[in-house]
Amino acid sequence: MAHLTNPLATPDQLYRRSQFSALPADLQDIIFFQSQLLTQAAGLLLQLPQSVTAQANVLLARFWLVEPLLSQEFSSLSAAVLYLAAKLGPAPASPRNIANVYTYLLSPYSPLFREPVSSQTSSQIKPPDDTGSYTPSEPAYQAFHTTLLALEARILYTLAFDTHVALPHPLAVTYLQALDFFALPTQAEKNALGSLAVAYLNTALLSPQQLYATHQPPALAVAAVYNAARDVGAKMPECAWWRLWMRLSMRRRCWGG
Amino acid sequence: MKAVDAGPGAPMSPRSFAIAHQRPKSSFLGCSKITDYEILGKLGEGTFGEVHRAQSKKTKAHVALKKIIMHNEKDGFPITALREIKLLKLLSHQNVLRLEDMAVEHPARTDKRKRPIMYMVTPYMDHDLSGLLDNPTVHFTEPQIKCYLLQLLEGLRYLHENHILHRDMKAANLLINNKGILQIADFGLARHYEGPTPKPGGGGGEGRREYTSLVVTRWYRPPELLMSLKRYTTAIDMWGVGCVFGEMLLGKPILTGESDGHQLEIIFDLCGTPTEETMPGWKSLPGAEALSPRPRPGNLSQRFREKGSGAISLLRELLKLDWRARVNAHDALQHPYFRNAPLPAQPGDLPMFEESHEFDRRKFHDRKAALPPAPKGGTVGRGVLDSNSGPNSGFNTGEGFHGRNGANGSRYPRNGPPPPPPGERRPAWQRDRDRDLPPRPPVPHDYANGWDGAADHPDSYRGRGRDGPPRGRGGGGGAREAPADRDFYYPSYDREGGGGRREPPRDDRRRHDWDDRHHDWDRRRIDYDDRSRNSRTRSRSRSPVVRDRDRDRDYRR
Repeated sequence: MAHLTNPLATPDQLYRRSQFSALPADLQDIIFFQSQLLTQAAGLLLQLPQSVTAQANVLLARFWLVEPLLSQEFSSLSAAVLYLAAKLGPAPASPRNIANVYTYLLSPYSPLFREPVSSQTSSQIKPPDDTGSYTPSEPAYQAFHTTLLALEARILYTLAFDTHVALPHPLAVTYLQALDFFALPTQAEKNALGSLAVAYLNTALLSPQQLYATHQPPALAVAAVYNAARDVGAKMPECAWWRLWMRLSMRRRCWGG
Repeated sequence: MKAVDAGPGAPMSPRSFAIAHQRPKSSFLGCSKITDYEILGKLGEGTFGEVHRAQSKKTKAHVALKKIIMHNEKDGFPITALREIKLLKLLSHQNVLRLEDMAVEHPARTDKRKRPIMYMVTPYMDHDLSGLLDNPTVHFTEPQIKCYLLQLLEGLRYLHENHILHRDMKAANLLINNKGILQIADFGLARHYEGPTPKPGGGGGEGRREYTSLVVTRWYRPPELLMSLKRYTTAIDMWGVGCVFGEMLLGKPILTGESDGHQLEIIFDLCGTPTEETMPGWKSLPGAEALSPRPRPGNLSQRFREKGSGAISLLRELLKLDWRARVNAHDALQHPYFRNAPLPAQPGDLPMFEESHEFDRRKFHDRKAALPPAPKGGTVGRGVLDSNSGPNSGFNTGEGFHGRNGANGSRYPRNGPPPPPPGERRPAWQRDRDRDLPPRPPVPHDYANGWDGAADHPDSYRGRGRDGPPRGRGGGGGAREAPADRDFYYPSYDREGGGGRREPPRDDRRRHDWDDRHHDWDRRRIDYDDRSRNSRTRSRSRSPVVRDRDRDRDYRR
């Protein structure tokens, strides 16, 4: 059952991570968060399934456990993990599309990373007709492409080609079903709970606390379900229900060995 | 991906939980370097590239290094290789080939254009089943067949329970070592499947979703795939097991179709024409609309009548036309065939053989006549190689392993024999040897017949074979020392078990049944994405000799 579990970071790696660079810790956290956010945004624009983008996020987090944060350009690294994850997924993304998306996202016309603007003003800032300012030029694309492939190899090497990522999202849905949360009276309530749990899981992807590199999917799923249920005010079983799954997943791992 | 044993019931502190679940320390260390291994020689050419034999300097273990060729530089790392690695890293079973390591070779610093080359490191296995069956000196006993079949089914049950379809079950992908262990290899076509795993008594079940039906080498392709069923199940691998089982019983592939239509015809010859009872719903399959086979009962029991009723009964279960009712690995393991005398042998009790790989065998038969059609999709992640300078040259050997098709004579020393006809294939280790040796003696005029001619000059060849400088072999000519193997370098590996006693008279070995082993080199690789198909077709049209290359490249360890 190895495909339900993830490789986790060692305590050493977590400790070392803070020693890797001279950057202050809060700056490192910001870099981590923004890079993951960039990956998510690019995944959206590329119309990749969230399962693929989420895998890219996890791969990026793993990469930074081994390599110093400043060893590579953040945005290129984000593009490379996304390219790699998409390649392994159902719908590979072409380097050209990725180049377009990243050039746009990093251009001044992208709302990402800009000061939050009110909805009226944002609609007024239209990209100019001159597409050259937010699409890559041919030499820029060639350079991007070279970097992309070099970084892909770098990532694979660093991760020892272990590209498997188990995601907690399906587990969270299963747990919600098992707890009978989908038997809630109204459709709205069902949706609220389910999407809240998924939202927690997606936010955890961005968290500099490296949740996906320190916890197995069942733990993440249980936590997301718990938080979501508490937020909506749904009634939870009194007992320590999460133990069931934590233990179950542990058992399965033993059988699968 | 070894499971970490955490006492199921025991409460754990967060710290001990973290320690118990941490990644093995070594696995975040990246990859090994090629210099951690000592290259012992080339074994053959795989889907992604060459396979070399090597010894780990750390553990002293013998390993096979499978080179991953970076063909399509535009797309980075080959997608099939990535998928195969990803799957293999999740698997751990006695009967599934283990991926031990990834090794990287950095090109010399002077050459900036070259990229690093990656190798997949797996344990070295002495034989593949196809090569072993082709070895005329090897005859499988019934306990031996049962032993291999049990292991194959165990491995497959593990794969299917882990939601993996192998999709390229065939004798050449089953590796066997001299300890009698069989392992399933080559996961280049494998994928995760959705839906429930096979249950005891449940047969193959219903397919949950659609996959591409362009999988499995033709001779091992089940009827439902030939009729383009897309919602297939683990039953497609079970059909392959049936074919392999029959192949072990008869000593040669049992269903050697020359085209997809012909393949179906001979399947019907063997198993009978499909009816609504034997294959419910077959008429509605996309590939069955044009079919109206003449009714016949199937001659399976006649063809295998000497093999006993137990074998026939199991074979019938495995080669059931109805994919829903075809036996699954679980139930096949419970078949009385394995409990009736003679009982299956223990792996350790099996005899040892000289190493034999499917790759070695190619030189033996004139494959021109038996050339199967070129693959439709083409193999993912492969393209045509440049003769010499491409990504194919490794270990900085300078001269490289060029000249993959027989028409290219460059692999022979200039004053050596004339190149064999294009159909003839000589394994690469032989070529390597050539470089170390003095020129060969002149070759008789009938050399072009393949290796037959060499039998007329056994002394010169065999003498050379023993006295050549790099030879490590002892006195006893091994079973595999067929004339064409004259320059074969046998590493001193299980020499004791070999010996001439298994060697049949020369005449017998000649033309044994090499000729009727037509090979489906076309391995119907399907494309995971269009890019590789494009690159493949493009390069095909560029090269006139591509058919030869296709065959040669398709070595399946």
